[in-house]
Amino acid sequence: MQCRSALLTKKINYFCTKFRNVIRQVIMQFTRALFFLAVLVLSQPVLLNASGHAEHAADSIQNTPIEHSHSEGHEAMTMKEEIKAHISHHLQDSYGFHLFTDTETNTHYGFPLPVILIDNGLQIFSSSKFHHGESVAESNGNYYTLYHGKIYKTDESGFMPMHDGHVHNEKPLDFSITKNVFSIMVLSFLLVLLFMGAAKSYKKSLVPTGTARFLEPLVIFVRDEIAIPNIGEKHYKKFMSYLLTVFFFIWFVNLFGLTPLGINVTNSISVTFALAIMTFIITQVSGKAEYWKHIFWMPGVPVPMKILLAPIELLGIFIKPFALLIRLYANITAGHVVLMSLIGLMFIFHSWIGSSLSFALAVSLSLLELLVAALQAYIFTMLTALYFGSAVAEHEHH
Amino acid sequence: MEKLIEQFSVGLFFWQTILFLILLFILKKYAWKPILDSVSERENTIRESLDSAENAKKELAELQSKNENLIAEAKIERDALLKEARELKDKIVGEAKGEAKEEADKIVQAAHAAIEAEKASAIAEMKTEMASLSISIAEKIIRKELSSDDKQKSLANELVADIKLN
Amino acid sequence: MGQLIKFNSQIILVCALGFIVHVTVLQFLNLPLFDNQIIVAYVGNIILAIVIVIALLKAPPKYQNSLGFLFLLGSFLKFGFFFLVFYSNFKANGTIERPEFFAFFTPYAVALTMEAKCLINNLSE
Repeated sequence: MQCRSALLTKKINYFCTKFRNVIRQVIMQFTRALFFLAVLVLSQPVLLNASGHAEHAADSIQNTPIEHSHSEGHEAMTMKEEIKAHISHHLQDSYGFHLFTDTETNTHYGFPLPVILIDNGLQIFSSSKFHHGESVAESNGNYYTLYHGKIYKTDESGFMPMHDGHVHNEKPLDFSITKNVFSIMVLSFLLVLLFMGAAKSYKKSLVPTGTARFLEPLVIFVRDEIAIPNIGEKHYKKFMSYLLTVFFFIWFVNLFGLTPLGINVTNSISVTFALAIMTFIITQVSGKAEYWKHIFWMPGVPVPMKILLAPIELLGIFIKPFALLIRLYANITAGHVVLMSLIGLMFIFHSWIGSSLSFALAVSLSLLELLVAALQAYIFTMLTALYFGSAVAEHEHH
Repeated sequence: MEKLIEQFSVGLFFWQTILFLILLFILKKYAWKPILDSVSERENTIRESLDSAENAKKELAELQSKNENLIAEAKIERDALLKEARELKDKIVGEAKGEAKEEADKIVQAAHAAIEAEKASAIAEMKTEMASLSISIAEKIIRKELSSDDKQKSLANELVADIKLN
Repeated sequence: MGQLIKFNSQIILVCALGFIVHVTVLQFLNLPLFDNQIIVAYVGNIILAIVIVIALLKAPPKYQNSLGFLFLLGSFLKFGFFFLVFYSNFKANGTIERPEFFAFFTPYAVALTMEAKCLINNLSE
């Protein structure tokens, strides 16, 4: 274990040195990047402002009993609370692709997505039926309402009994195409287009052209810096597809999370959980006898130690992917929260110096997030490769 | 932790798994396989061409050294040939010289013999000539001197003795 | 085959011993002896352990590398067994009480240890 964590630190150090070169390049193009990021950051407060007000407006219009009890609180909703609400709203998944809202006219810009529920058979309807949480949706005689971003089964009036601050309505099994699912679909489609295009350019000649010229070094990076050192020359080939897909999926999803579209795929625990569980299953399925021996009966240590190590190692195989999913989730979520808080600060300061300072901070943080987007993809892929490597390792010391 | 579990959405998990698996299979078939194959093929080609260049270089060097060897060998052979030729020439010339000398010797010997023979015959001829001359002289003398028989006889003896002395 | 019979007799013996100790402890603590589906828990765990060990021992050579994975699958099977048969009954009064917990956990732990031992023997070959 110790040796593994030492290896990990070494890897990360190595990656950092590798990235130092990248950072140097980024600094070279700093002016250009700064301009781009400034536009990016500037566009977010516009959305923030708009949808923050919208939520306020929508919440106060909502006519469910619970909302009534809270309505006095809403009157006193300060800018701080509004920003906090916006951030937590952003971190949540939603049933429609909401871009921004015009507060004056209370019109929402965006598009609805299909809601798919399993409740007395398949219930499929458009999320526009919820009218952004303002009304109860009906499908084949069943009534559903949206409360705090989740769908609850209710009756025609939208009645929701509350006990100690919890809603006790039934939650139907929800397979809706939410904003995150939709984003994953679009990004997957983009990835397929991009890489199929790149693959096509190899048909003409072995020398890459076009996008392949940019993507090939990344593919080779994953192969030579992630797969081969961690898994070994002998076994790395069969894991390459998974490693490459995971790397590019996480990286692209993270990058799109930085755009003002408000996509937040990797900061939903379900997505990182799905990725980690795939890593877990592949690791266990490809585990060789040697791997299991090291878990259940660690060779080279005295028997009491073996007995002590077995449950620890067994627990370890579950903890490792868990750490993987939490690491990705927490890093991206933290990045988003800090970034959006800084953007929110611009409005709170209301002063020339404070706002521009937090603007500068937000821009530099965006820069950092750009790095984190790649770094997290790298770390996830690297650790995945490390686990695969331990599963297929053949220990020479016998 | 509680909040994390609350945030977990079965639907999103389901869709992520399905979509990711689809993405994985499509990319595996249509992107990763061709890209990785081409990259490794190119790497192999590069490695092979480098190897073959190295080989060609080696071959060239080998060829050069072989050439040099050949030239050296040729030189040695030429020298040997020349030497042989010279020897042969010397031998032939020597032989010719020997033969010529022999021939000349033979000719000289023959000439000597002929001269000897001529000389002998000349002497013999001279002898006969002289004999006949002497006879004629002697006749004349005899005719004058040999008026008496005694004289004739003593003269004849004298003459015979003279001839023997000669 | 010998290994399987050996394992079966061992697990039945060890579980019977465990059961006797368990019941004795319950007796000392003045708790009801055969409550909380304790018989079902013991028998179920023994049967599952035998099924898993059969899978481990009879696995075709192709899966010799995945014995550990089979073991994990077995554990998931046991979780399923627990959730299907015990969980709702144990949770009926809101919480899982200590005797309820041990009624399932003791045979589970014993069977798991025996299985792990069998797996280790198999892996060390």
